[in-house]
Amino acid sequence: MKKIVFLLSFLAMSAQAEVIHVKVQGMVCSLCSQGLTKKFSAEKTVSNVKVDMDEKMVTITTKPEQTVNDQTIKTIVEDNGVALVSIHRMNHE
Amino acid sequence: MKKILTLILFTLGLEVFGHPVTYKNGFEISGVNMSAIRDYQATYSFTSHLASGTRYVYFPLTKQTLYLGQGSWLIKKFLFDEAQGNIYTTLGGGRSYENDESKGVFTTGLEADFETRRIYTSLKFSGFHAASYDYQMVQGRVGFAPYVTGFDGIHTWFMVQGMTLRNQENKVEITPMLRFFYQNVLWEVGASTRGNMMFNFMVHY
Repeated sequence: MKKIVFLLSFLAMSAQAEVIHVKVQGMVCSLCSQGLTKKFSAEKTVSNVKVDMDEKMVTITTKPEQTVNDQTIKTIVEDNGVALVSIHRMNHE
Repeated sequence: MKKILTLILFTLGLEVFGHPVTYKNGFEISGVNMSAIRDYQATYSFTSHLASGTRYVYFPLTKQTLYLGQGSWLIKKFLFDEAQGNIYTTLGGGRSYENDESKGVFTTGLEADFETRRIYTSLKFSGFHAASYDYQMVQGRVGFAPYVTGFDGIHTWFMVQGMTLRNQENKVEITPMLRFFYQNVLWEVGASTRGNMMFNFMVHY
């Protein structure tokens, strides 16, 4: 029984998605943020993208057991004409 | 030196409307309908600094039609927490048609803008140069947003545009207008103090 509980716990942990908060600079209109949404959504490992213009924050939720590396995030942000301020990651079931 | 700088500014020309360069692999369609000029463009951005596209321009007063290919370059971008500024230049060439005659024409430009979520300002110099004419357009805009909203909201701006087309009308036309944008679509409607209507649009893909 203990083994089953341990296995289920392990599977649950390993199926976690990642939530990545990307702080950007220079995003002043929805046309600016449209490119970010489009490009991050096109990443195969991403399941959801949300842009908060008040907080200058792009929140990316990955698919379970997937991630987006820092260099990819930096490239996408800069290709959209804004600057990367910070990346903060947290796990999410 | 001052004369040279003035000459450069007045011989340079730029897009009439919209950012000449958007995000990498972005595609933009824009149209301008004013009494002095109709200007339609399709632009592809190779990077966030470099774009090229095709352009159709019609001058109603002189009944001249221009078909142009052009490239635009983001010279400098200034990024702040609550604002951004951009300086662009454009260079292009094509054919100009008038009374069944065609001739070579080239266009050059310089544009600067500065915007926050509440304030917008821009200054553009556009030039259309052919053997028999040399039009220089100077366009300035100021605007403010009465409210701010998010990505999914409809953005509204009150703006005023001042524009002159030298060697054509040679008058300054002042046009109060409303600008709206929703996600990737932007449109503007206005009427000048001389009673001329204006309608512009821009779509990003």
